[in-house]
Amino acid sequence: MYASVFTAFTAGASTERQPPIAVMVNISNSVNELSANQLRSVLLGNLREWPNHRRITIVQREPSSPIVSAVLRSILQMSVSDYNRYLLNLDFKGQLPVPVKSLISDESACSFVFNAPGAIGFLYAESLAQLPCGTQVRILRIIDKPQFSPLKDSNR
Amino acid sequence: MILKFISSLRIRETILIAIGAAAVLGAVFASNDLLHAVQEAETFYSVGMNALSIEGDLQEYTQGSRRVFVYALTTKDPNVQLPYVNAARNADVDVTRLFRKISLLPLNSASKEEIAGFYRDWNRYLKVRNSVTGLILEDQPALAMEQERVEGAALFENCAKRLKGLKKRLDQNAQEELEAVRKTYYRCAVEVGFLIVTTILFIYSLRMLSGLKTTNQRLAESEMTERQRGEILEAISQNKSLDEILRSIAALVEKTYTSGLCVITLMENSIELPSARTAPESFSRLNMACRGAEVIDKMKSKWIVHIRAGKDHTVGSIEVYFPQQVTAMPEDLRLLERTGQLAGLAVEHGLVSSQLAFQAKHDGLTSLVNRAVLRDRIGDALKQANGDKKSFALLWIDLDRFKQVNDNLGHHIGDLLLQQVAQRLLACIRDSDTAARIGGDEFVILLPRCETSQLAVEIAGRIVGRLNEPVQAQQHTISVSGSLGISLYPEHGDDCETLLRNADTAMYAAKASGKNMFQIYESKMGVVSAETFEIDRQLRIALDGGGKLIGRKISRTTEFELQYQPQVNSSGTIESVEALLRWDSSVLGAVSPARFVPIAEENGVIVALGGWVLREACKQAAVWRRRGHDLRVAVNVSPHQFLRCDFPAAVKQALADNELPPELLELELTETAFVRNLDDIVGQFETIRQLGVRISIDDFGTGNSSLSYLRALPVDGLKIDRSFVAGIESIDRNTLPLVRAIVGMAHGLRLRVVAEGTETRGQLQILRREGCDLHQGYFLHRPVNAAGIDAILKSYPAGHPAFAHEPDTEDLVALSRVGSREISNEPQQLRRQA
Repeated sequence: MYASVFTAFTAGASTERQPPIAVMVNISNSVNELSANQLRSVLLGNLREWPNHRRITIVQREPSSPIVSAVLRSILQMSVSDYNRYLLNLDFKGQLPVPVKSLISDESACSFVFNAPGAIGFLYAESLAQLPCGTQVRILRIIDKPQFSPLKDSNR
Repeated sequence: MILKFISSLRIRETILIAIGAAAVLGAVFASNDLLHAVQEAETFYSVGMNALSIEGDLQEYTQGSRRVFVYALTTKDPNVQLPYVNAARNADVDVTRLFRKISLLPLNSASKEEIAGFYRDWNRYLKVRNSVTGLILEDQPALAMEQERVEGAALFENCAKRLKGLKKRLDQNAQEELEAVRKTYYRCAVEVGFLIVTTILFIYSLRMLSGLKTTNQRLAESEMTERQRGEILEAISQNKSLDEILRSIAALVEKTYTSGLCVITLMENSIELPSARTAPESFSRLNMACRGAEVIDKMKSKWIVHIRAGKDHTVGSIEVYFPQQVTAMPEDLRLLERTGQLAGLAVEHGLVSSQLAFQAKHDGLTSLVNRAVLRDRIGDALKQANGDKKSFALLWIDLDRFKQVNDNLGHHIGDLLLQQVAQRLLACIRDSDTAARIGGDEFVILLPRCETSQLAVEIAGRIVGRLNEPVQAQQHTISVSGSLGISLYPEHGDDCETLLRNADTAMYAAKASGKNMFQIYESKMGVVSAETFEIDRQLRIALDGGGKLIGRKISRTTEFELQYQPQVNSSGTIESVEALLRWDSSVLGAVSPARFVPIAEENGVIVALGGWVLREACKQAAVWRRRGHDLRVAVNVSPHQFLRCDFPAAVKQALADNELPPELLELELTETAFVRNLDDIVGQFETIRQLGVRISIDDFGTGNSSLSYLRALPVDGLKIDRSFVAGIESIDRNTLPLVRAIVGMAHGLRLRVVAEGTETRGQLQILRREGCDLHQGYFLHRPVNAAGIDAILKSYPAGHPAFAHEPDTEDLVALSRVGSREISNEPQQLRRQA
């Protein structure tokens, strides 16, 4: 299941060969799949609640981690600094901040998703398979290729 | 009936088996209950401890879970929160594990309900907490705190209450379990007690049953043994042979110990017998082995017990051999000891029987055969002699003066003398001859197969010679002799009684011929013997009615009479008289003292006769004294009488009874009394002399005279034997010098001299010339009775007794013969008294 996810997700992301990335949510989450746009909306703070109105919390590794840059580049076509600026810009605009949690390890990230019903996290699939909690989180299927369009940057 | 029923051994066995079965059942039940109680206790302990431990762990883990969870609430950094959250979840896992664990324990329903309730509440709490956790992680602390405060805390409090309730339930459960275990314990204790009591009863019953069986067996064995012992005792009482009895005892032992071999051994010379020559054959065997002696060497163990007869007198042993090593138990030793006692009894009984048989046939003092055996053997000799036409001889031996030895030295010395005489007789005869003691000092020897009288004469001479040898009896050296009479078969009789009587007669003839010799029977001896026997019989009848020979009183005193012969001094005065005994038997007529005195000395009546003479003489002297005549009366005393310890008292009594001054009594004693120890004689002399009585020695110069007597004995006078007086007129030149020497010696010792037997004028003249102090004899006065003495005394001239001048012989004769009368023509030497 992970492989299919990763394959589908990475195939449309870049021509460069990338390790598959797994998108994980709490086991109680009723969502099984997301589209690339929905995923992009979540990262950009445009989509903030799950269908059950549970608040979405983004779980990542620390910003310097390769998985963060890989996720941002493959989904948002943004670098880490770009994304940080984007988030700061949202703050300056007085918009609700995007809840992003940076965890220092894969295990912590997985554990966070396991404990937080509204969390959504990104880990390399290969790393997630090695973790004890890897089986206690739900992996979402990304059903289409992300449609990249220039972001409407209100700060620009 | 019931007791009898119960006392039956079979019933007892049944009861004991029932008790044993009850004990076994009790043991099973008690064991089961005990096991159950142990299991319950173990379960209780395990469950209780586990439950309490788990409950404690639940408390800890739930509190820990909540505590770390609360820590997570205090920070916003998810990197810090997550470890606490994970720790709380780990604690939750442990809580779940503990719940499952405690759910499996066999607790009571209340506890289980409490546990289930706890778990339900706990799960609710966890749901709330998970929600709260999510809210915290998702940066909604206010909401999280609110939910935690409103729901989480309450649910957790419920969980804590549930755990407290659980602990309470567990305590109750423990109390219930403890109570149950305690009840089980009590039941077990009761059952164990019952078991112990039953077991004790069972063991006791087993022992009792065993004891009963053993006792019954012992009783049966004991009955059998006792029956056999009874049979043995019966055999002993029936005088069965010792060999047979000992074999029965050995059989009894071997019946008791079936593998044992019994050997009974009697020690040699273990039993002292009176005479080895007559020892029963049953006692003369050496090491009598009843049986099996040849296999003893193969035996490996031996029990031994001594056979004792009398007081600790070991006479043998009973040995029981076994082919294997066997250790004797105490009861075995007791049985053997009793068997040893039985054997000792048999030996002792055999000894007593033998001794009784021996005593029935033998003389106890000398161990020679007695009269009955002698008669039997004479009967055998008669039969044999009749068949073979052979002859045999009887020797009748009587010791001379044995009565003097008995009276003077005591009976124990006499017994020793008889024993030595018996040994000497045995030494003089052949093994085939028989020596018997048939009376006090009388022995008879049977000489079978005596073809000629020469052999009898030879043996008789040998015996006479051996008897003459001095006998040492304690400190006394005794010289005795024996008189021996011989009768031959068939010349002197053809039956036992005749032969014995004729041998006795011949012995008396030997005595009459001077003793210390033997005589062969002659037919003329029979007459003398018959006369002697008749004198003896009449003498006994005359004394004390014929019954008590040594009685002090004489019942037929009219047959006895005292005559008195005057003793005249040189001046013609009658100074004294000698009392002489006469016997005028109503049957035999007048019997000479020479005939009856020796017989009286032999049969012992001389003591009674002498006492009578003493009293009568004193009585008569007192009569004369009252009439104005102080005549001293001389009484002849037998040695038997004189040496009796009561003689001085008798003398004193006779003087006192008649108020006679002691100086008017003189005792005449022959030298035969001096055979006894001189010290004893001197003592008796002095005792009598202290009474004031005079003592003179009669018949001096004959017999065993010894001048040492004159030196040692305090005598007052001597009486020259008539043999010297009779010889002084003869041509024998030695007599007169001897008389002169005797008179000179007596006067030198300040002793008065009496010359007896003065029968002629010449004798009187010579004796007066030689200085004799007193004269006595037929020439002067014959013995007369008391009236005759009175008549003589009356015929003396007035102014008696002194003459103005020394009378010549004619005057003296004329004076002294006045008033005398003839009463006897017998020679005076035949009138001797003891």
